[in-house]
Amino acid sequence: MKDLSKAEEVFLIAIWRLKDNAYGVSVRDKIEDLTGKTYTYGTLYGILDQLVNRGYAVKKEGEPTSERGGRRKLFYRLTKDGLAALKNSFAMQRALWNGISNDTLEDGYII
Amino acid sequence: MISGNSQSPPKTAERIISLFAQYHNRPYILGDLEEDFLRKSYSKGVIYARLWYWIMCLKILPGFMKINILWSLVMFRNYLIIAVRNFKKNKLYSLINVLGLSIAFGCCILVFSFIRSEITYDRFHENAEDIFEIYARVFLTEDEIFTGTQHALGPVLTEQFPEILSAARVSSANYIVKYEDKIFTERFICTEPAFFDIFTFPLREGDAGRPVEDINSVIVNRHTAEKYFGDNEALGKTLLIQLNSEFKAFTVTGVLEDIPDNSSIKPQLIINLKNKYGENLDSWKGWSGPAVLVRLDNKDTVKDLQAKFPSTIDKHLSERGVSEKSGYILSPLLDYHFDGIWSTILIGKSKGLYSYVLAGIAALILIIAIFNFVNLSLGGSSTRSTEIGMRKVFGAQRKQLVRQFWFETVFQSFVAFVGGIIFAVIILPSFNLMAQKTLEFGYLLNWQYIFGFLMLVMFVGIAAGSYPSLVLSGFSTAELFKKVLRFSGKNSFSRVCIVFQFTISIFFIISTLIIYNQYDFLLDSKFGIDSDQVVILDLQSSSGEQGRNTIIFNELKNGLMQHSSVLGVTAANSKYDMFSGRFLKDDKDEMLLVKINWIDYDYLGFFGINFIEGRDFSRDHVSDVKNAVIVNKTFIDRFNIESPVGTKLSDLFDNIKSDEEIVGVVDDFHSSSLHENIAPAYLKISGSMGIDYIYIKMKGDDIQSTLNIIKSKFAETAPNMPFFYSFMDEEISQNYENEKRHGTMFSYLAIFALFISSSGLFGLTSLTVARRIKEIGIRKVLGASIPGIIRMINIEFMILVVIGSVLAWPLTYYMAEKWLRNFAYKINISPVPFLIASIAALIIAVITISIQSGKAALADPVKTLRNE
Repeated sequence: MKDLSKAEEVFLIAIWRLKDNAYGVSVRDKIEDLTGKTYTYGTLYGILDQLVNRGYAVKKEGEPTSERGGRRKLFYRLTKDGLAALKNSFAMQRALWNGISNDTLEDGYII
Repeated sequence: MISGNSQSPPKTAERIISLFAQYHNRPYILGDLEEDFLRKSYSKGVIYARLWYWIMCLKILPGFMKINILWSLVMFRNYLIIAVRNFKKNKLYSLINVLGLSIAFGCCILVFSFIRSEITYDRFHENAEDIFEIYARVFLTEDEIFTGTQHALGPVLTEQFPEILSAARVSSANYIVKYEDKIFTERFICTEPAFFDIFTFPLREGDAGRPVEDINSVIVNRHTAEKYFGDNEALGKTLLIQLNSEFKAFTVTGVLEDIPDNSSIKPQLIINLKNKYGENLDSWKGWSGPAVLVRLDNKDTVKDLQAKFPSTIDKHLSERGVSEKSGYILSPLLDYHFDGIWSTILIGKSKGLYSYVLAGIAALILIIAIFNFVNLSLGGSSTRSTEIGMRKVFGAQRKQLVRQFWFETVFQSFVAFVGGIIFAVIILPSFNLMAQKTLEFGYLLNWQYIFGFLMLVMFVGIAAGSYPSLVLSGFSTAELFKKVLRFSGKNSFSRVCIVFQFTISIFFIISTLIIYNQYDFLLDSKFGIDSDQVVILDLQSSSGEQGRNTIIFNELKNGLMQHSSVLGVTAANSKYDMFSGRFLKDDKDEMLLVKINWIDYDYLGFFGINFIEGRDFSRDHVSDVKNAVIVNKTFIDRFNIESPVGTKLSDLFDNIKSDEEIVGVVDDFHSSSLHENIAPAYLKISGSMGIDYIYIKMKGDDIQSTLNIIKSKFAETAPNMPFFYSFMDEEISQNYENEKRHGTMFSYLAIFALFISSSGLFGLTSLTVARRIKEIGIRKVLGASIPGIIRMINIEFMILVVIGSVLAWPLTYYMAEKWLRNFAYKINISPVPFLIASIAALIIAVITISIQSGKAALADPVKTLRNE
């Protein structure tokens, strides 16, 4: 299984965290909360489309609301493959960072 | 740009995003943005929100553009492949289309080249705007004005006026030049070193220093250097130049860079003008001084400077006793080419009209070509319906289809442009001949021009492709697959255009025929003098040498008359068509221009000119040399002289004080080309005025050996003079060079116009046939014969050509009549050219139409009616 790229990982986690409410605005806000990065809407959808193409997520249209000038929201949900990729990523992270804390990071530091 | 109510985002920004955003994500992006906008406007206020929106808009844009470009590139590759494939499939259509457009583009390039040359005339000088010519406008009396300069006018200007940076006197002259065994007469510019401070004529060889400061130096242009020195170095060589009957040695001190075509002054050889004028340069007497050119520090000071003249240099005029209204005038160099003020040194006037007319013609040709393109595209498009249908099935939107066709037409446009360049390069020599220019395309290789041309090509491609692409993409998929292509309406517009095209073509054809008729007429008609087998020797001398020429003439005559093949020898001061003129004041106090020539005793007899009254010049009457005058018939008619023989000129005219007396009256003969009416003229014995031209009449047989005899005799009598001869009848025909050129030009135009019209007709018929293929099928089934069908279609379109013809006739008649008014002697306009032109057009039209109608008539009704 191919590893997730950093951006893909970030996005998938955001989608997972948002559960049923993962759409443009919410995903963007969530990512900003979590990582501090801001994505413009154009790039955002670009990456989201990529995730869909790779089978990690699916799209579904929501109901139109007046807040959006009568336009619909587009919701993203994780697929099984997406979930599996996240689990993989999580496992790898765990293995890599097992036992390391912020303090211990500096201990092992040699110039 | 702030619009919309306070609860909705800025509309303009929304529109911009819509424009660039990809189709399928657009509503979501806009929705997200609006939601976010509202949030922000609640928390931070509307103004902040709007600002934020605009910033987001700008941040998103580059990303979208990148995506668009990437996708476009992919699609373009596909479109390109299809475009080339389609081109090959419809070779005939595509070729005709591209050819028509190529011709149009080629014409545009040529015309553009011409206009550029005209507009930038003389502008290549560094300080072109500051260059002026100064001359005196002299009022002899209240009404008589003439213009002239005085020899000493130059240096005074820089001394007296700080606004004038440099002043140079410039004059032209013809001198004989000799180098080794090469001997030619050349045209010189005689000027001062300051000439090079005023005009930008850089030297390719030689020290720019102070050219021609040395009286014995000469500057040549490249052409002259090659002429005399071949491939050898020109600098330092010695040329012998004949001034005042003596050859003086001049050293070549510089070679000029090639001079652009659009220059009012084109020096070939330059020497210091002291060589021409000597001490006269300091004289304020006389009015025929050299032209004076100056360079101002700043052109804006002209008016003030001119205002200074009356109180300063104008005194040089008043000293001469002329009216006070006289004054010196400054005239800008850049005004010369079009507005043509008088100048003794600048040449080559033109009219703004020519540029406009040519631009108009080029635009017209382009429009017609585009129109034909549209018709032809639509006509040939039935083969593509399947492809278009497939694209639609696979999800192509209309916008994409339109873009594809635009791409194709722009592609064809570019191919046509390349063809146009080739066409222009081939036609250039003929065009130069006709326009009397030496245009080059080198000047067009400039980024601005190239960019402009590319824009034009794209514009043409898009314009030509708009209609077909919109039409073709508008059909439903079902229609496309069934090949039911209904092209609605627009029929009358096309027909009108065809009529128009044929009207123009027929106009050109008739005009060509008429022009050639007139030209032949001019050549054939009697000139009034007997000019067969007459050789003219041009003695081309500088002033003051006519006396010497008379001696040469007499010797030559004696020598030649011994040969039986020489029938006569005579001479004159001016050529048969370039008499000098003189103003005579008649009894009504009008000044009239009368032509004068000074001739040899035997001149009139030589040319077989008849006498009406009186006698010829005679050596028996000694006083003839000074006082005898022979006038022509127009002269006595014009001045109402009752008994001319014996009348003294001083009795007739107030401003003649001499003893001249009329001794004979001759029939009118032409002193200029047949363009003009015959003017009153009088003739005198050449005597002290000297002669410049010798006429020798030869026997008809073996002209070549007679010519050799003349040549050797001439070499004996005038060893140092170049032998310049020409045949009189050839020279006469050269007068009508203009007409010949016009004729050629119109014949080219006729061919082009006819080609373009035919291709237009071809397109229209194919379109119509495609449209009515079912109807034809039904007719066949119901029993119509193949020839019958062909006839039906043909007649429908021949009518168009006939209408065009009928429209062309009055138009052409009117224009031809106007043109012929330029000639004092002209043909009558006969109906023959009109008929020939119309019939020719009809024949070509029939052939064109028949290709399509034949194809239609032969089509199998089974196939055409199958899809009903």
